Amino acid sequence: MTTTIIQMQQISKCFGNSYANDSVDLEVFKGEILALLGENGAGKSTLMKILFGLYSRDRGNIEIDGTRMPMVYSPSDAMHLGIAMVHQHFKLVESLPVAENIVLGAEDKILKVTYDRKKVRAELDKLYEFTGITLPSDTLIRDLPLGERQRVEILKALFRGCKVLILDEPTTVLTPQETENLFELLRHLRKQGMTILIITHKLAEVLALSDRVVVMRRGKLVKTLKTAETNAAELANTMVGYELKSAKVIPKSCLGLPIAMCLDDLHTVQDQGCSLKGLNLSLFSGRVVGIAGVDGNGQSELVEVLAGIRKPTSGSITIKGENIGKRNDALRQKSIRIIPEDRHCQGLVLPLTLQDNLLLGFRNRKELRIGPVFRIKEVRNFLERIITDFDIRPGVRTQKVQLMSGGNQQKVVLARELSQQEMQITVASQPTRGLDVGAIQFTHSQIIGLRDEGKAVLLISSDLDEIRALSDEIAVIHNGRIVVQKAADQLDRLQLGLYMGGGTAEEEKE
Amino acid sequence: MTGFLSMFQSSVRIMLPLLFAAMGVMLSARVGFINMSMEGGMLGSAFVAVAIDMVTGSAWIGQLGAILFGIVYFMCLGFFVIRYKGNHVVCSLGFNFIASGATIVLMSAVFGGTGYSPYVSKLPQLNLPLFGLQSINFFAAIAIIAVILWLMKKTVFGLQINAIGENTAAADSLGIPIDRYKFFIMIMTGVLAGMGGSELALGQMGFFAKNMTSSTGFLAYSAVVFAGFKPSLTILTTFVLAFFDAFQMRAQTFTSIPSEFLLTLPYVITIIALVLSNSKKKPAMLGKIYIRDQG
Amino acid sequence: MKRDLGLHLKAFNLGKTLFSIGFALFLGAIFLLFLKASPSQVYGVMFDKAFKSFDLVLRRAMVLMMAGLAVAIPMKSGMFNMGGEGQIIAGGLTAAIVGGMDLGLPGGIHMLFALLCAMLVGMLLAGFSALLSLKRNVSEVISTIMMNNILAYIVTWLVMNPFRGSEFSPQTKKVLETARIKGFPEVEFSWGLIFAVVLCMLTWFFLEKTPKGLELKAAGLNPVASRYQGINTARMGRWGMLLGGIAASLGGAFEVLGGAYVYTDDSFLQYGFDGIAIAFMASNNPIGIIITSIFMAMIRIGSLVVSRKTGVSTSFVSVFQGLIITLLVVPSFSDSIFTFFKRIFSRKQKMGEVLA
Repeated sequence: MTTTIIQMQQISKCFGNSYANDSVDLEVFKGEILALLGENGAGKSTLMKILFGLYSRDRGNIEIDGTRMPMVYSPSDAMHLGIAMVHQHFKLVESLPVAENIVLGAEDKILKVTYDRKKVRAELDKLYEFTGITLPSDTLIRDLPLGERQRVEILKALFRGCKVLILDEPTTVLTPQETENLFELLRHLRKQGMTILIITHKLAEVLALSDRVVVMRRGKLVKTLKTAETNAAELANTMVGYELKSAKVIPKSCLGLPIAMCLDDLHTVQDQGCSLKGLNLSLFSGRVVGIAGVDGNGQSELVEVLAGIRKPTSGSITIKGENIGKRNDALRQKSIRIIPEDRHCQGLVLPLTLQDNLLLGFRNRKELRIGPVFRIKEVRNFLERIITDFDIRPGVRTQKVQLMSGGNQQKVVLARELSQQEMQITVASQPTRGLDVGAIQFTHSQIIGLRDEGKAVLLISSDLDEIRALSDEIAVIHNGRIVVQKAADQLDRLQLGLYMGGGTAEEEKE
Repeated sequence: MTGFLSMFQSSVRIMLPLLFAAMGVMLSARVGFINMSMEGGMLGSAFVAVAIDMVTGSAWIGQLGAILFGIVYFMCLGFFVIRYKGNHVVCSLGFNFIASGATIVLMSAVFGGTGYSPYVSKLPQLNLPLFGLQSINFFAAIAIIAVILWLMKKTVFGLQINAIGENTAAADSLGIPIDRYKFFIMIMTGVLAGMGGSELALGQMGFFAKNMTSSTGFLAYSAVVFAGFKPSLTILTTFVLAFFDAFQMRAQTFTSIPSEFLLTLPYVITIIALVLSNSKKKPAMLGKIYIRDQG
Repeated sequence: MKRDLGLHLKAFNLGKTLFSIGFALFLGAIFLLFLKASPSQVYGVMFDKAFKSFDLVLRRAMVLMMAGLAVAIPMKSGMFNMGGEGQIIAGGLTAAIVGGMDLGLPGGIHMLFALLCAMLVGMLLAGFSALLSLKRNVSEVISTIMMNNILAYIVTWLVMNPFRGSEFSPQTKKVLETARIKGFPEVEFSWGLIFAVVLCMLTWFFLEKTPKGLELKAAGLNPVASRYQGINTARMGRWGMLLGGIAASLGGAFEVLGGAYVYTDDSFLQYGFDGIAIAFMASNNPIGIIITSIFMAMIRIGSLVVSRKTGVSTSFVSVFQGLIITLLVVPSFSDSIFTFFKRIFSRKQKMGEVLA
């Protein structure tokens, strides 16, 4: 007997010009584990945040356990109705112990005004027994490993007597063993009648854990499947789908080419996101290597290492044989240019002018300076040329960059980075995110241009179409490592989907 | 021996306004607010206290007025910092300037003089065993400190306040009303500023002098930093600072070290305190501006 | 997003400065009304005196410009230098001491040497706070403010004891002829004013037209993006503070060597804090600082006679200084006021086309 506990009808949500959710219908049955599967930007996270009250929907109805929800409500409202959400980035107070974190905000369930530590711990002990999860009540959060912290988050939800638990990409920061523990826990909770919604891009999790799976793509709900009746291949297929192919590069072989840059066994410290766990990668001059992968698998950390902002704990980066270490910053600045993921925070200094932002990348060029001062005329001519080449609008050098459109802002970044003569390696991280069609085409043509000029391009994107259209070789990043690097025409969508979801070559053969 | 006892008693006297200020700074810091405006708050409160005392003849009503002023002062500051997300340091300092200038300007209008106000009636003075001559606020201080300590350490409210200062996003996600609690802390800080200013003006001096707080607010800030923002430790550090101040005043009479050098002692101690203190011990959200991540 | 501000950008920069001056006067008037004083009377007296003693105003502006730079340059690099008070008097005293010593140096050289010593002192003081900030994470706001107090006492002792020059007043010896900055006949100000203006212009030039200036600005505005460009943001902050300290101490030195020719205790009260308001009103634009420091100097000089003629204490300047600082620093608040007024005044003007 399946009862519906959550009903979402025709949910739509727009951010700017694009639909994050497009008329999505979702029905959740009581006591099931439902997986929401999809790539980045598919809309699964947005949908759940709408359900939880963090975002407000533009259109559609929501019914939670029979109660119709108003158009705008808050997480407290959702929590009152028994919904709890464990976010990707934990919301815990590090300097407080486990017990305090669990009861924070909901103390009124067991306390009045005074805070009775003993009583809290006694109540929590009961909770531990009841749920089968025991946690060290007095240990500070900052002394706990990430896997344990997640259990604290889950217990937070259970303490509030939740009936529906939403988990957003829960295994991102977990070791395989911790992942297994989590699965055990979730199965145990399901047995006790809990309804669980799990947002994920990992096929293995879906298959191991869920009763049903809902696949989303580009804001729409594509298919609902019973997990028992499907397999990895079908899921991967549905997840990445068949898309129209736009301008495509004919991939050239990388065999026998000298290696322009080699990343060898890179490791980084595990903090907020996904650390690198032994990343190996090779780049070649005149070729584009595209890294496909769902956001949060180490892409940002990789870019930070290449930019010199994050120091790897072990491993090396060599450019044409020379090791880029701490002492070689000048070489790095010259040879590697980066188009960062977040143009506002990492790429541009918004309050500064177009001229200043461009000049930032050329400030040390000898021909633009006399000693410690800029040569005004040379600078002007140089920048005007770049502005025209890249068709930046408006081309007023004294324009403040923050007033420009997203597409033009990206052009500024591109202009600055791609006009560097001595650059050998370009790293483009999510270069067309948030851009319109025209700007995307422009960016792509720039990347192809670089390739034709003989530069080595590293393209990191969560847009599989982009990767497939532009790359000579494709690598897939998963959980801080490169799991495959092959010629582009040797990997089709399906295989890529599998690798991105954490699958392996063996599963291909199914 | 009597010298030491009298120094102890002076220290306690000096400590009282400093303690009120330090408690205000500590409470503010607990919700992430860098409060460098106790100076202005106390100065303004002192002014109001003396003015009202002069008009009504009652030091009690003066003290009450000071408390009310403190509340208004910090609610206004809170408006800029909490509502409009202003920079804590600059806004606090700006308010200090306003208070400093306003009190001097209004002095002539209200008191007639330009350096000192006329004498007014002081709060009841008590001759206590061990502690010597103290105003009645001595007991008020004990009561208030006890309440604050209880509030911060033993209540649900205190727990939530601390959470706001450590991870505002987490507290927000749990439904804790951030802004409302912050404004409440502002009110408490205002009360403390009022008590501090009134103690200085009505409990000890008996008049208002321009800039009479002489950096007490900043010394209070360093006392709190040195105490790692812990409530109970703050009491100790304020005593230490007050002791140095008392020492410096005595030292002027019996050493040949120039008085100017001795007068720098509290500030030097402050810098030393800040250098030595572990910067990790502060509330994580101190000084950071929290904006809820809206979809 | 305000997409209609594409035109008249340079005017926008100075426009904000002029607006803040007008706003300051407006606020001051409100405060005066609150005091039951007449704004027109007070302002009348003030500006009358200011224009009559305009040379005095310029001499004051000379120091205030440097005080403004002392705040503005560090802020551009992301640091708060509140130590102007202390750095100015340290620089002034140093100049007085070196200027009063008979070193056998010819005129001009002696002056330069005295200025150099003052600069060194300012640099060390600001550098100390910068060091504490970077190494021990001590807020430079607090350390500079503490230093203000410490320096005030130490300088007073130095003037009253080892370097005492006069029996009757707390001053140093007179500065020797060889160390003085040449004055202009018949007026109160000296070449020091020219130096100050030139330094403001040089600062503007440095910030806008040199690579290092660009790095400094970027580091202050967006440290993350700057690091991506290979800029050492910590070093930029350090340099900002050092330059700020140098500016402040030079301000004191200019006044001593090119104005009073002696260092008198307590003669530089509030200058440092004036510098904060000056920098804010000019939005840290060095050219704007020239304007706002003249404005501030007019207010200060003008207000000297206010208390005598109207009964309002001169400290009302501090009040609206505080108001300016608070109101201007809260971006959303000051932006909304600014755009509110702009909308009123430019309703007739058709705003330019929407950017692509």
